[in-house]
Amino acid sequence: MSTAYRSALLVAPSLLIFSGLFIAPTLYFLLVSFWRFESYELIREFNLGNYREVARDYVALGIYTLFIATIVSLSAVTLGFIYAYIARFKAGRFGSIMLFVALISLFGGYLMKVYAWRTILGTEGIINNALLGLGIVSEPVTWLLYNPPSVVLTLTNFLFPFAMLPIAASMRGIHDSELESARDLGAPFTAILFDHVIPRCKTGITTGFALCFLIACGDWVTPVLVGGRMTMLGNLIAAQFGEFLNWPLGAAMSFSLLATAFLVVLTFSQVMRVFDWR
Amino acid sequence: MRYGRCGLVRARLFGTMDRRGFLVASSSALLLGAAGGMRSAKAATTVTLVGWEGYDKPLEAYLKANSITLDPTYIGDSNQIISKLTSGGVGRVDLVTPNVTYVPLLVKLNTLAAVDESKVPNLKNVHPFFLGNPSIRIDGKLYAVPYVWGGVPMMYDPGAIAEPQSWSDVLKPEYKGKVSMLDNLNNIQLAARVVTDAKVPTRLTHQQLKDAVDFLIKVKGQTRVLATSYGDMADALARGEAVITFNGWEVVVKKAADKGKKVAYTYPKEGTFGWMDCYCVVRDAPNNDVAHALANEALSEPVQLKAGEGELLGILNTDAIKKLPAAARALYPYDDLEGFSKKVGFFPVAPLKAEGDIASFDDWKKEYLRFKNA
Repeated sequence: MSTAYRSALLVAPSLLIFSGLFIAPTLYFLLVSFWRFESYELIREFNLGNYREVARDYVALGIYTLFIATIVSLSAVTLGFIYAYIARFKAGRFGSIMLFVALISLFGGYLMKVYAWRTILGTEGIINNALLGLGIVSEPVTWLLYNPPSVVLTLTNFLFPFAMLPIAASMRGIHDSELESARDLGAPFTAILFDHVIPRCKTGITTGFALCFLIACGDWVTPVLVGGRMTMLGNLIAAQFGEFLNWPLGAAMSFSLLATAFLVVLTFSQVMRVFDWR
Repeated sequence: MRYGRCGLVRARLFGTMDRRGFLVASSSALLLGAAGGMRSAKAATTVTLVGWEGYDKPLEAYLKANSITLDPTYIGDSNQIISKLTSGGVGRVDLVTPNVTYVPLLVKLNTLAAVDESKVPNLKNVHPFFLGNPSIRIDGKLYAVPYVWGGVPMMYDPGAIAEPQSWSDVLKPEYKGKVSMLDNLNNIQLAARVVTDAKVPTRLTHQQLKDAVDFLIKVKGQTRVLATSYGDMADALARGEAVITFNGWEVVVKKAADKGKKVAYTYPKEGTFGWMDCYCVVRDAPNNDVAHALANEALSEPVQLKAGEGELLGILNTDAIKKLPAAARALYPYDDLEGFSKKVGFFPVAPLKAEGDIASFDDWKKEYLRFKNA
């Protein structure tokens, strides 16, 4: 058996699973996005009506969703970078424990984190109890919850490990002696950071940003539970697939969001190229 | 109807769906589709049900005693029943439990079988008020066996405000940020009662529909958060975050009381809408006789008592109503159903296709999306 044939045979199961569980459904929904739903009937006629509707009615909401997702992703990447840096270069033998703690937080579950923040920020939460106990306020503060910042906070907390772990993986390739040499040669911290560490972590940072951004873009549970009246495009997509059963419009919204999200990720990766010359 | 282990998760959704509900419904839809091919290989006593979670619970003893296995697909909205039946469910599904307002639509779509009344003797025990609902009988044939019911009142905190009189009271400046509103398409009916002169709030012209949704957007501006379930609503009232609501359910009084808060409800002067979920036999049901037997059993006194006492649903068996414990009986206006009927309408949903200037159900959904997007 030739090497090429053996390789193809080994890859085949993964390729089959990936095609069956991801590519085929994606292509199907892409096709559905060009159909229409009328009176509980899926009309299989090719048309661009759903995309026209998205362009006409949901551009503002789409931009708002991308804006929120960008803030969340940048926050998660920044915090993730700091955390990974401390774990790699400052925490010594506790670095592995720090990574393990961040990793284990993924097992807490998504909804549990959302509800935890709802409890923390709510009128009967820890913050309000502390403020009341210290006599700083006379009645619970209501603006902590049910607004866009609480959505950003909750999503950042949830997505933090997704941003941190790829960056931490990139930093493993940086040897201590490289930084020590730079310091010995008189390089200030900022120069070491921008000229050496960040360029070496570019892949990890981009991967972390992409993971966070794509998840945040499509999220619809967090706005419902902690966002108050706030709506993101994901909420409308969920409604189309759920209560309204309008899969074609829901699919068109999804692919429009996906396409613009890829553009943002692409832009971010291009921006990261400014570190190339260093 | 679901009444979750952790309290009132989603008692009556009327068109909204939480994340779990969405996942359950979508997985069930996939399973239903996958199981379709295997249906003929199953035992004859496996009955397929598409309906609200929790409705099968009071039937458990009967199912066990008669060796009937229930194969349920739980829904988050009556719309999903239409979707299931029109996408291959007819001929595979035995029973569905839609809101009575969807029954005419289901009949029009040729998805339901007429009920053989001789096989449902317990119908005689149903209170005439519910049997008189025009949507259950079409062209003289019975298509729906009423099971449970409820209204959509306005909830309020009597310790904080006087009894509201109108749905438009939620727009009062002093209630800014203190309004709880359920995210529900049928709110359009409530708004239509306030801002239009439509005689039937589900038959709106396009302009009336737009006006109603404009009103809802104003109400949305008064809220801090849209409730995703009546449990959420009860919590908001109990915590004092809301003092008045747009949409509601009689049971919210009990749920708030469990949290130590006294809450009351009223049917505003404009009136409201009600719901009555029914057992309907699907056309070409594989187990037609067993489906009839289950619909009949759902009306029996023990099952109705379990639904009224255990699940806190409004029941309609006259003997069971008399035996309800005081607390469960106090939740619904059992003693004044005539007065209830004057304030509450059970209107069939908007027409499937536009009729002249009357907006279709698809138009309603599009307009409601505008509310969600606002």
